[in-house]
Amino acid sequence: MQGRNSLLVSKYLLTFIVFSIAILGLSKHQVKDITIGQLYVQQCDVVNAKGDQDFNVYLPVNLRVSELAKQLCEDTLKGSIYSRVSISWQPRESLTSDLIISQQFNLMMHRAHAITGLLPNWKDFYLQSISLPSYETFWFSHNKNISVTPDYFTNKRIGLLADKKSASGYLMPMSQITQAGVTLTKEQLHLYPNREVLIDDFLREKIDLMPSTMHIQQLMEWPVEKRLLITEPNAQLSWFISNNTPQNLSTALTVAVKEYQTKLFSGLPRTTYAKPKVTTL
Amino acid sequence: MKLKAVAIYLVVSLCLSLHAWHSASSSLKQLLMTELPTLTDASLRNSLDEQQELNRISKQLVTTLQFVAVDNILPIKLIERLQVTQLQLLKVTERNSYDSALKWTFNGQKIAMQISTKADFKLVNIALVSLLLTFVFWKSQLVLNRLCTLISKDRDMTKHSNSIDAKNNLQHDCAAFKLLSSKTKLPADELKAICEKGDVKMLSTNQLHWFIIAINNDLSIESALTVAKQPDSLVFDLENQCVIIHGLHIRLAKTPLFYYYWYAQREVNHLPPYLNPPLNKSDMESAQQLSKLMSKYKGHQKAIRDLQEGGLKGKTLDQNRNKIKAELQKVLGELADEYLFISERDIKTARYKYRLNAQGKSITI
Repeated sequence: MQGRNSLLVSKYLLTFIVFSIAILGLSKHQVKDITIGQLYVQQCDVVNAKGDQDFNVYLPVNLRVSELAKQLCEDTLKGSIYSRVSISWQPRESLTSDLIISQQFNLMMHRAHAITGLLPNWKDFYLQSISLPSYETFWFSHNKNISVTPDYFTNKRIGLLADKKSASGYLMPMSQITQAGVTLTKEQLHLYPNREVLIDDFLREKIDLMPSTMHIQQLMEWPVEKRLLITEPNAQLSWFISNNTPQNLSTALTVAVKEYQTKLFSGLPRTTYAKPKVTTL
Repeated sequence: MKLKAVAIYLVVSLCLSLHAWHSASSSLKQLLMTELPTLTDASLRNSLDEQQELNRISKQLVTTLQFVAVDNILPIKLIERLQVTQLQLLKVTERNSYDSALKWTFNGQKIAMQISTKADFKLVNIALVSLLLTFVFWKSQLVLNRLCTLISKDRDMTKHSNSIDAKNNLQHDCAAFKLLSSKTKLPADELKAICEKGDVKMLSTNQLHWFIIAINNDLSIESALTVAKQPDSLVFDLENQCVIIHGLHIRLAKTPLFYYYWYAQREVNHLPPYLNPPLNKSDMESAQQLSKLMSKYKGHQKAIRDLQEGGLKGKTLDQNRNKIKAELQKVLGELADEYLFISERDIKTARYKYRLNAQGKSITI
């Protein structure tokens, strides 16, 4: 009887294995290559477009992009030769000289010195429009009486942006303390990939000092004696319009960016981090 | 058979569809996991609110990936395309730890992806492929069965010297085989021949037992089949001194045969069970009937004389019933019980009364 059973078992086993392989093999599907495209772009279609050109915008930070996109698509560029608006906040290092020469962006928010660094004769390609109201950058601290001296900075944990082209997040504070003769050790210096993480860590008191503008609610309410203005170097953000953008649009564009700026400096966002309430015993 | 085929067909089509969907979906996830970390990183670098940006990216991805084209290894596709119904990128915090394998890190911050997909099945193709697979499955079973039989035959030949082993290893679909091999002493090859007869396959278990008894009583296979197919019957052939039970001739000793006949006669005449006569008073009337019967069919003179002189005694009845029982059991084994006596105690006299078990059988006298 054993012989018969083992024959049966091997028969069923063989059938099961062969058919499992057949079923799995015959039904193995794969996704064809998908193109996701860059994610640092917000796009919209222009209302009543009369042409099919793209209108590209560059911003150094993705603040309120959807509002700017809406403004451009539904109002400023309505009925123009542009059919599609793309607003990009790509990493600064990917903004190359070639992109300036090819006038990839019709509208850019940037610093003049940074564009000069990329292409000294940028004025052949771009027209500098209005500047953003000069906003101030501060050192923020958890303690009073900040002073930019080597003594004060000893053993302090400093948070900066890893993006070394950021004026407020790296260039301004770094040049100020270097001029004052401060040298930071590796352990002292913490570099962050973006502002949110930097501010979050500061509010959690993981770092003692950080440079920032007052663009979020918690920092606007920060006690005056716990912050210090960074004055050097004075670099303003400006808007640049490419020369190949129709002249008749520049006035409308200026109006649009002015409106956007107003929004930027009104009702500032809060960070997700909420400071825990201190209870005194 | 039909039901089995339909069941296999359904299981096959279900497996095909599910695996097609699952494989396409995991291939999409894999692709996203290689692409998304770099892409989201570039976008998050200049973002002020990471979760808000992740939400925006998620929405954008759902739009981009609404319909994803898929390919099969076969030229025939079981899924037309995959639809991403939901996609959400989330920052993993202490409060929400997503048990998803789809995670990557942006600056020490874990980002998780939740995704669900829907498949647009090509039902016609699934039906066709399933049908094909079921057909191949069915055919392969037949081939395998034949192969198994061949292998067993081969083994049978090699182990012929040991007939028991040979019997055990014999492989075929005859249900009777096991029973036959255990209850008869036929050689394996003959058994196999018997089992492959269509008539034998049709026998019920009860008939099969009669068949075995007939075989064991040296009847030919054909005669044994006739016996097996007979209805339950009891026929007395006093001329030839035998009873024919279920078509099977059984010779009995003269005296027990007459008593057997006498009980049967009572059954045919619908008389009540016969109460054993008391020790001190033998039954003269019944003795008269029996002695007449015995004289007619040349019974033993001693038995006749005993009856005429001493009447019918309980002890004689017991002895003869026991003889009948022994004789029938020798031939019929367990099946004999069906043709023996049923006893019950009389409440008044506390003596036993007996009658022939005639239920459901024809008795011919």
